[in-house]
Amino acid sequence: MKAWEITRSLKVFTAERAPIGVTLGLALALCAGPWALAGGDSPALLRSVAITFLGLVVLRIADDLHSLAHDRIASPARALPSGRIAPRALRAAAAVLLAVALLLGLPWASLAFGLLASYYAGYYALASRLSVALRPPLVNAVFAAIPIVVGLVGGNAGPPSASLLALFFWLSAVGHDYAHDVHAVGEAPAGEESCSAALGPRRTAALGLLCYAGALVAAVCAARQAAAAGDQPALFVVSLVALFGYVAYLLARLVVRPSRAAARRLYVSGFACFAVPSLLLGLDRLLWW
Amino acid sequence: MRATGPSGQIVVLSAGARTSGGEVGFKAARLAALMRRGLPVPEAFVLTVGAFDAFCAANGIVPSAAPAADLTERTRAGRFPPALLAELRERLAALPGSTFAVRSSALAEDGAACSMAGQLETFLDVRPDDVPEMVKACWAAQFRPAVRAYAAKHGLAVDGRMGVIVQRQIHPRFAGVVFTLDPVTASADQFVVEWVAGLGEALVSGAVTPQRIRVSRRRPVVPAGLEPDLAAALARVVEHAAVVERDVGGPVDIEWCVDGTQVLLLQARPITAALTHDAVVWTSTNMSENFPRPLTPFAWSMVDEFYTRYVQSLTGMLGIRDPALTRRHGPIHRLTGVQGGRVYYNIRSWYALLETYVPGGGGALRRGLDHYIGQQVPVPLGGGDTPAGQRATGPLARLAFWPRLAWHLSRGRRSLGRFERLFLAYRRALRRPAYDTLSAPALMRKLDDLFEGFMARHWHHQCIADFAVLMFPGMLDALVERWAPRFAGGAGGGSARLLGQTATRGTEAVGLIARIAAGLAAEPALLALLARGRHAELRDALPAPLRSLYDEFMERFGCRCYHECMIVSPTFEERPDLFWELVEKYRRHGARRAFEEPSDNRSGADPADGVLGTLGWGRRLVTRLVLRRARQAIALREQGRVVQSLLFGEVRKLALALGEQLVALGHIRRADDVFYLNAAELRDLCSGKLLLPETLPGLITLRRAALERCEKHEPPECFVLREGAYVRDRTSGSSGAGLDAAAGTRATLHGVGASAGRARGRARVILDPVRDKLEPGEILVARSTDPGWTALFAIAGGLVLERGGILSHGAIVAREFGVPAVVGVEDATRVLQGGGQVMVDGDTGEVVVLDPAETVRHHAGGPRRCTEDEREGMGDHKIA
Repeated sequence: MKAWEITRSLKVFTAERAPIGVTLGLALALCAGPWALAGGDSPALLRSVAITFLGLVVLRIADDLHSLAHDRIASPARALPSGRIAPRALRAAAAVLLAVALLLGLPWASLAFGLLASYYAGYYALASRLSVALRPPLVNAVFAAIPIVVGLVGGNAGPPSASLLALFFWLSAVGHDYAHDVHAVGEAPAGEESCSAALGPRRTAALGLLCYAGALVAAVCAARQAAAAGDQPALFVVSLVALFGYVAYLLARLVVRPSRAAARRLYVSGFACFAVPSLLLGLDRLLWW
Repeated sequence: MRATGPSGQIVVLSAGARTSGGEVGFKAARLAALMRRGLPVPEAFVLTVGAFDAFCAANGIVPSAAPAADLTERTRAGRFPPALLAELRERLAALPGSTFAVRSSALAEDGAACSMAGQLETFLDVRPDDVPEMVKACWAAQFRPAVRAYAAKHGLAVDGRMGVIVQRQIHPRFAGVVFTLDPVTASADQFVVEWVAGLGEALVSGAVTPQRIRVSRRRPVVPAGLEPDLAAALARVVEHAAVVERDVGGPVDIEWCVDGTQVLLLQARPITAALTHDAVVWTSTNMSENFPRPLTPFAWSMVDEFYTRYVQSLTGMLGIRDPALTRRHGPIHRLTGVQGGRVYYNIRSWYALLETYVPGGGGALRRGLDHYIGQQVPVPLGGGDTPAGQRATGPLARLAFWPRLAWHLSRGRRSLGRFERLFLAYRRALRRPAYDTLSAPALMRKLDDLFEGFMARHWHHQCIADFAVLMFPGMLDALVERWAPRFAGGAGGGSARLLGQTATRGTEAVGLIARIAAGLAAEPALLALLARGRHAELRDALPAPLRSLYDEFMERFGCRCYHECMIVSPTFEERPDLFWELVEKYRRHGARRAFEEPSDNRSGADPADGVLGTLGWGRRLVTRLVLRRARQAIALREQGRVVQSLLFGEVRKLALALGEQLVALGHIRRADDVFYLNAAELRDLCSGKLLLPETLPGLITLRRAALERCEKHEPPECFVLREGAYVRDRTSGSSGAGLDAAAGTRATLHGVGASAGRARGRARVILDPVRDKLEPGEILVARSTDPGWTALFAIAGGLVLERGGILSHGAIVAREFGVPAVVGVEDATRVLQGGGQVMVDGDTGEVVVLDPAETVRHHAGGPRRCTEDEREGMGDHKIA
């Protein structure tokens, strides 16, 4: 396998599936909150963002490689299913990115990152045998890991607030996966599995609501801890209230009348309700602390 | 001479010999099968498995009990039973020649599972006295450690069950191998022939570099430049290979030699390496008629949706309700795929599906499908493709299948008529309110409803027509081949001649254009507007009767365009100037009067009469019945295709309206960018699910570039890949296809005659009908056509298509219009791009280039398109 082939594959893949601007922005948003609570310095933030960015790209690669057979049918125009990128080259690229991320996180963050990578290797090996209803909590482990890794990079071994943020991220992501995939009974996509089909649309929407409620509790506890430590997470709290209020409204409607169209509305706001407060928590620190 | 000796341990190979692989080994059994087929095979006899058993019994050898090394030694040292030795000598004396070839023929050798090529022994130039020793050496070779390791790896049993062939030794002028599937590229488009002077052992062992040619499967002509004797021999080799491949039921490689002037086949075996049980056989055959170019992501998502709904309708119609068929990655989702940006059939999945419909009887349907789509490469059913539905179909369902099918087929005409009415009514409702007043989500819902609301409920009507075409023309071919063999033959089979001109609905659009053109002739003011290209004014100024015809055309056919299924060409509604261009051409030169009066090529007599007249009354009755059904099936299919083309036209209209909305929302830059997003992405975008729509323009740019790259390469028509692999852009070398420049003043291209008659005119290559303009009387040369091209047939002098068979749309409409047509002419658009004078002979399937110098000049320079200047210089030429 030649280096240029790996580089070219990575370039084509990221341009199409993980645009650098978008992925970097997401990494920044997810790292800013944990960084603020961990009390790290600017280099620590940069390292955290770099590790998270690399991790997100690696995860995207793993996910696309895992769903290759499906994408050959559903999205054959993409570079990977169309054969423009060789899976082998992309696997090699992912290995290189993983190695760089591990180097950046030495020593403790690397350990956490390594554990996470092993976890996902195991997950993708077993995913097809798992019940579809179990997949959201398992596949979203990365969101719980980010605050921990960022805390470790910042030199802080992980205070309770980092754990609370981990819970906040993870429950939001799980709730998001349950909620945005809801569809009415007659709207089931042909030949595809879904939580909604396995658990029933109302139950799935209610599960999403429950996860978001748990996430909100975790976020409020994290904010209280920050306030108790003398910080002022004002933007964090305001955005939290506004976004979770909106998501709660959408979820309530979804529980009452589950439909694919209603679920789709949750997609962007469901992401935004934990990514935006996290970003603003970082901003809080820069502005007030 | 008797075929079998008194002991039954030696069998003489002959056309009458009854042999089985279990008795003489697969290699010998296949040679006997070749003889039965009348193919030339050297004189030979076989020592059967029984002979080896007798040898073992006489020498106390138990193959299953002794160590391998011991067995080798003991076999070599063993003594022939006297009776067997005597019989062997007697048979040797009866064989011509003074020396012999002794070849192994193990039970595991050359079978369908693996070939064992090179593992066992062959001895050449063996003197009669040495033959018994060489026979023992063949037997002993199977116990060698390397052979045992090979057998173990492939799960074969080496138990000493082996035949040995003793053949007349030939000292050939040439010897070689022919592959019907390229062993390197796994493409089945060409036969690969390799040969050396003298004995073939050097070639088989790899000791010398052989000479090599590739011969097109569609046009099996040996390239010029070889010495005439050799060229004639190679042509026969290719001819024999095609026969053997059909008999074996899959690609083969054949060892052959030329003895004097006679071609002899020495050995034939299935190509096992590429066609593993889970290999995917991709074929584009008639698919390229609808999808001649790489598809945009939007078009693919529509095609995927279309085929999924199509097959679901078909299974529902036939009473098969098995969820296993529709599961993710199930057979229905694997019927088509994309290779090099183009759509291909996964032919083994189709075969498996047909097995589901008629468990145990899918073979006939498979043959029908091959005939229907023009699939020439025989493909064995893959082991991994048997769907769960086959198991789920009980005896009652099997019993009910045929009556159910007969019921649907009997209602075909009524059903298709209803289908068209339903679609037009549905479309009227769909268009209210007008698309340009709707939001993006509302347009997306309409697009979804087109498939979920209409296609899912009513598409089974179209399936009836397709099933009828799948069955009846194939049946007709079989009847002609059996009862009137002198009328059979040719790539199109006998049905091409019998089907003749079948009236279809596709010509109604042409009739409307012609009537408008005729009406305008009496209106000088309107003609002036037409000449100046002021089409909007012209439309408004049309007198009531002509306006009514215009409105009728736009209502019924306005959604049609060239390459309709690709959803990329503008429709007549979008570009009325394309419509008026046709009106102008019809007016100036007159449309071919297929719909008004008989053409030169129509004699008025039914072309089937000649065939039917040779049959007895019983056979004539059956043939006439099947013929009537076949003609009706074709007419129905074309009627269904009109609806299909209107459906795709409506999809395009909706997509463009959606594109306009997305442009207004700032998500994409141009309305036609919408074609570079797939349906799922558009659904997400319209419903607000897409996380960052700002990334779309970049994504669209990437996809445009990828599509342009795909445009530059055309993968083979049929090739084999392992599951999940992709076709690579590999130039497989010159096929010698195209122009036979050595012919001197005249050069000839070969294809399949699809519509009788001869026409002479200037060749006009049309790759994009919107850009490239056909002038009346010119010979239309294209890769393929679809119903959107029908209007061009009315002014074409003749038709030459690279793709398609006698049942392709182009062939059917050409027959209806009486346009002489030759289809399946490989490389026609490249070779004829010079635009010289050609003569199309629809009877012989030949396209004669009348001024080859011009054509050769362009052809030699490689692929290149005709320039505008060259086009300007081309005049109109009347049909000869």
